[in-house]
Amino acid sequence: MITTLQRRKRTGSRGSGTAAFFFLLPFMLLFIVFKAGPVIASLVLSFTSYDALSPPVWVGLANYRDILLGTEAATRLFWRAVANTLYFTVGQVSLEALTGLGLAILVNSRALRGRTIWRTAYYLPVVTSTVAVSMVWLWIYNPQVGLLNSMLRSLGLPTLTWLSDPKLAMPSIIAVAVWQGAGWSMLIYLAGLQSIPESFYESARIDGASGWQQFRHVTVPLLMPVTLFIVIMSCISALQVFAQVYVMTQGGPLNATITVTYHIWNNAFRFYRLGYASAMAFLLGIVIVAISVVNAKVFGGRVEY
Amino acid sequence: MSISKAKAHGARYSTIRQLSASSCARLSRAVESGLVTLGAALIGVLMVFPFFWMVSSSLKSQQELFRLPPTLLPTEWIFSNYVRAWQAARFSRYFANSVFVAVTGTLLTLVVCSMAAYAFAKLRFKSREVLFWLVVSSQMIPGIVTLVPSFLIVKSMPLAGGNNLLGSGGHGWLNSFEGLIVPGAGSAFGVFLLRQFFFSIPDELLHAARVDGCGEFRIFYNIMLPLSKPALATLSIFTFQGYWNDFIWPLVITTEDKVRTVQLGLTVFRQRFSTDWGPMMAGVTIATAPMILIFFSAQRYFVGGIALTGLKG
Repeated sequence: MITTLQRRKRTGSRGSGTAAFFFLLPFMLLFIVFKAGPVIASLVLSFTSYDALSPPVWVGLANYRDILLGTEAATRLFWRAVANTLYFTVGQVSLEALTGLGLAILVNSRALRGRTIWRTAYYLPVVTSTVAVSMVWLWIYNPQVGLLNSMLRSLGLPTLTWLSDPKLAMPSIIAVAVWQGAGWSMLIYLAGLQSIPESFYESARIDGASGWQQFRHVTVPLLMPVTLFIVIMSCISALQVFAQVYVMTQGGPLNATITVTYHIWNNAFRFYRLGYASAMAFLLGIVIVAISVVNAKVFGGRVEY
Repeated sequence: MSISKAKAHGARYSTIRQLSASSCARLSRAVESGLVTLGAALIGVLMVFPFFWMVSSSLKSQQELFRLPPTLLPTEWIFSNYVRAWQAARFSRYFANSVFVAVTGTLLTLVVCSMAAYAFAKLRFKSREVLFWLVVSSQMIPGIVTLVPSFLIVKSMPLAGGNNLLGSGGHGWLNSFEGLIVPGAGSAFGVFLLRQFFFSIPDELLHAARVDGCGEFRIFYNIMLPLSKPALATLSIFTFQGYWNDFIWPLVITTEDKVRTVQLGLTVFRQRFSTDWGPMMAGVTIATAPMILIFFSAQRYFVGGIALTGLKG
């Protein structure tokens, strides 16, 4: 009796297993060929010297040694790119989170009329492509006839070379990225704000807390997990910044805006140093995966709210 | 008598006081609301202004673009920039390519991901949880890690683009629509999103269908998919956006105009019209218009989808 039941159960699951195989087949094929395979291939490539023409040569840890400890110009450039990427990440992530929080509080305010319109307006830059908005900002930043310098000129102020001044180029790129990303963090903060029960504010008011004190002691602590989530997600994308740099500065002036991803792309697809580029990509990948693991640990593997 | 009069007077007085107090509160609330809305509007103008400036610039003549101080709206509306943009650098071709890649890619992603999500949500098979965990964890791996190997895999796709069975001799899927569309279709995010939604569809429904002799494919096609329209809509919007706005992958695998997408076309534009901002802004307007239109018409899916998944564009 038990054996027949077990057998029936087994046949049942085997039937289901066949169906599952066919349902999974297309996805798993793509997954293996374009995700799992490339990750392993990337690791293997990073131990080789490869120019896509002659067969790869095994060089062991030489690429990693060159990247991290080498003395050649490429190594210095790599560390320059790391520093620039960190600069971009810290600037973009913190400003985007702050702006997003401000916008979310504004949009969540009960005094606001026409909430949906403003939410739409703030979110609009998020859906448009980075290449396109970078082109628009290239025009706005134009040193001769761009909007910003025209405004400065009509106010009688000295004009600035936004993207060709080594000190100003990175902040100019960060400003565009913050403008483009603020709507996203606003939306996440908004969901967080709306999940705070009104009773928390009521009891704070009964205790005589002012508006600022309510914000400081109720809103901010309760939004801490949301803030962490925004910071982590933004870090992951900011560490891979590429299109803004490609369109607006090409890493210049004087390498002031060269980022790790731009440097990897340059080495892989301009100089065909595929092994060297893979090693850099793998190092960046480790950093990003580490951040993602923290994300998964903190949020219990959930991405949703 | 006098007492009751006084009482009545007092009552009337307090009503008046209440009235004036409440109208005062209403007034201050109206002022607050006006100020908050004004602030929101100012920020809104600031956020949308670059788009306004893009469209406005695309409608100005070359002389007007270089006028100081700049004009807010074109004094004379010029549409020739659009004509020049559309005809130059094969922009119409880039646009058509982008439409094709984004639409086909979205359809393929929906098919592939919904099938896998169905297996992960509703079918029992060995090591289902381990496999799903593997797929979800793969989302953590940034695109830059797989970029170089994916390029090499696409280049050596067997029996494509002059390649032999071992994937050498030709250029594989480089400079092809397959290369632009297929690698992105196996989206782990898509599987995750749809699986979550499929869980909300009760198993009893599927059991009943199975008892009635329905095969798994009919259950999937005739029951699951029709019930999952909101989730499919959300995924298709994000997928379309991903394909339409993608830049680094088309940059890496295409060098020929016949397959280049509109985002690449814009950078080609930049080299072509280095100081000719009118046609350039016309091109940018054309390239952003589809996403802006989709956003306005399907806003609730964007907002709902972001709040649900936290996906970072």
